Amino acid sequence: MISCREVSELVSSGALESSAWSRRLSIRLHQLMCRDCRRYSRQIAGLGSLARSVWDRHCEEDAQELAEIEDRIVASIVRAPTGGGPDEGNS
Amino acid sequence: MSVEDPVLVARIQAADPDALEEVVKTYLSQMLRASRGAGLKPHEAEEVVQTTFAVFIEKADRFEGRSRVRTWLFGILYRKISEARRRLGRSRQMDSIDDFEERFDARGSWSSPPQSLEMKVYGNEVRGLIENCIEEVPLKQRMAFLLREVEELDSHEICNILDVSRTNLGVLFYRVRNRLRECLEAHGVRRQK
Repeated sequence: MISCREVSELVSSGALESSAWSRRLSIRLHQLMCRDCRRYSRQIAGLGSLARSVWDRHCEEDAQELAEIEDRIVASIVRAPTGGGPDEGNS
Repeated sequence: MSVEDPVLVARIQAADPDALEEVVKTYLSQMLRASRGAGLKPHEAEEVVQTTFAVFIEKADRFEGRSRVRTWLFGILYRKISEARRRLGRSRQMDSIDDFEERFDARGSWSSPPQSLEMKVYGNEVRGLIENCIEEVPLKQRMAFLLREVEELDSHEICNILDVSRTNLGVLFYRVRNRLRECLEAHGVRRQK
């Protein structure tokens, strides 16, 4: 019988996705009976979207600055191809 | 034509300037975003991305094409971010996550079960909390997490970028996810009743 500790390890390490069907089934059955493990799995699954929303917000706030940075980088690449010129930019 | 296409890869290996420019334009945003996600400020991100492309261009003729161009680029980027963070004094050496093990009894059942958490980001205060939690995560774990959750790369590619085995990657995910979860719980991001 799979334990809560084993379930949490499989869920958080990402090993669950590449586990055999029979193991995934054991975990599903365990979670049907274990409210704490259900809650834990939901929380781990939720971390991704939480992080994404934080990152999206950063990107929104920095949008202008990042756009300028992108322009500068592209310009420096185009201006100084493999051979390099007298002015290399920020290298 | 995708920059991962073999014809374009051949032009990259031949250091064709147009092909190199194509690569830069394809991956620039993603690389800046990853650098920001790794905790660098915009001007710091600019520097590491610029340096990464400089290395890429310099070594383009040595690219063997066994991995994707993206994998190679991100591998360089990760090393540059790591160097930058060390220089800026932002390395996190300690890793005491194994407190998580203490939540289980000898049989492996929860002795200290997870509390109810508010997982949606409402308002600046909660967002600030999550950002602080992320800031405390060591770089390698943080990169693994963001490459998976934000950039949606598969495990195989992440392993190549970070130069870790699949097992190690599992350990990184285990640590960062539990660390973040514990941090949120510790700071009381509880569901409002």
